[in-house]
Amino acid sequence: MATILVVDDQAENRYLLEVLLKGHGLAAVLAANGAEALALADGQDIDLVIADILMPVMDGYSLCRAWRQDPRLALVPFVFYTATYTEPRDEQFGLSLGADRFLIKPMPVEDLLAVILELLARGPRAPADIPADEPAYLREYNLALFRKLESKMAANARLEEEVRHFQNVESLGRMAGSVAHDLNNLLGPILGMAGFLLENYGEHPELHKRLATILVAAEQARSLVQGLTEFARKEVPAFEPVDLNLLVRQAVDLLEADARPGIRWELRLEPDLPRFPGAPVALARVLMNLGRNALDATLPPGSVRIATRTLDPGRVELTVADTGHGIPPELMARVTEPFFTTKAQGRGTGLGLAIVQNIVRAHAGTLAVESEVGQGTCIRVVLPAG
Amino acid sequence: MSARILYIEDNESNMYLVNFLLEARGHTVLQAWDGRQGVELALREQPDLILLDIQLPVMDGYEIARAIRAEASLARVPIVALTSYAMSGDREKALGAGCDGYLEKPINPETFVASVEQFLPTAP
Repeated sequence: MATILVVDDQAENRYLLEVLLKGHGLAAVLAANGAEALALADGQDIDLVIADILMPVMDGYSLCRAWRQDPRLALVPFVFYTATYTEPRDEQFGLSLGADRFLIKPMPVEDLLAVILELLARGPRAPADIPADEPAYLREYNLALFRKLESKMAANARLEEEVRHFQNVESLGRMAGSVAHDLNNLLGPILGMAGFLLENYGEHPELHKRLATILVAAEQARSLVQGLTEFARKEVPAFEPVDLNLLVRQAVDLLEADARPGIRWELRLEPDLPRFPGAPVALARVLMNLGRNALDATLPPGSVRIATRTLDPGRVELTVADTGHGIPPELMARVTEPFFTTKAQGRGTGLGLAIVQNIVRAHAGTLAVESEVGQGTCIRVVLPAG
Repeated sequence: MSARILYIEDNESNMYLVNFLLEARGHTVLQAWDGRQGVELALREQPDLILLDIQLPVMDGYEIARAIRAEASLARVPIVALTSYAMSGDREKALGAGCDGYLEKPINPETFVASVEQFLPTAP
């Protein structure tokens, strides 16, 4: 049985490779950095190395060089498997140290396995020329490490930004929930009393007009509060098999009443779309919010297209595309932000897409927005289907 | 043994690379991007060792080394200069300005940390 040495500072990456290798009849030994790898190789025969690059104590480039300099290890195949790939120069540098392959994480497991099996079948490699310890090589080495550090830092910064955004949304949600509760209590008597007055003293035309104004405003306030409550809702309803196409048709029936004449509906629903586990009421809300946004953005003549399809056996895709005014690039990052709206005062709460985002997240799905000013907007929701 | 090392360097690539290498071996790195900031940090933090780039704008490495040596509290902290490989005269000038040693740039990531550690004062 061939033995593969896996070198990665992330325990979960080591674990994943170990499972993959063992599942295919290969033995795996694991090291957290280059120094550990060399120590392990000292006591046993290794048939192939898979190494990450940025690791504490001893990085992958150093390991590769040391590996090729050790007469006992020099002919053992060496593969770099690294996530934060930046430039072809990194690959060139890795190969110049005597690596056999430079692979980018994450890679489909079949492809990764194919490379491993191919190299194992080929057996010992030809001796590599190891670059001399001279300034030109060191400069290249410094730059290669720095590029890795840079892309890792950029990835970390993006992640932190996302976490911060998520925390903001969460705390907003909690606040919104408690505000909504109090507001609802206040709106009860306003709506009730105005209704009572209208019913009993409404024949007076002047009074009727004033009371109707109060009622309309209070109704608007109530729908805002309802949006807040939905946005703040944390508990995920129980999942059941969902027929997404049926939900789309129901939503369109409801939305049609509000659609301006001259807006065309286009439904492209995959006939055999599989049912998948989801919360039907929440997904209906997703469709209503996306549909309403599309209608609000589109002036006649125009169209709103809703499509469903199977992306691959595990995922379904829902797209809602309009031919409306589009979203300027500078506002794209804010569209899912709670209370952010470009609709006229009183028309939008700024919660529609934030609610959609929450629901999609609760389904472990993803939401993407593509838009071009003057051309339209397409919202793409991908949900796990099994 | 883990040490607190002050690195005075204006070049971002070198700063992050050296920072990564030292931290990967368990050391703590204090970063200063120019001489003024470097001397200030050295006075306040009293590091175990100072790594000093020689080619710095405004106040170059020699001036910084002299300024550090002029401080009573920093008179004994080891200073290691990073000199460019091409400039052989730098080394003598660095030693003359009060540095304890020098390392060449580009650094060798494989041996760099061990070379720096040689200059650390042995624990009392």
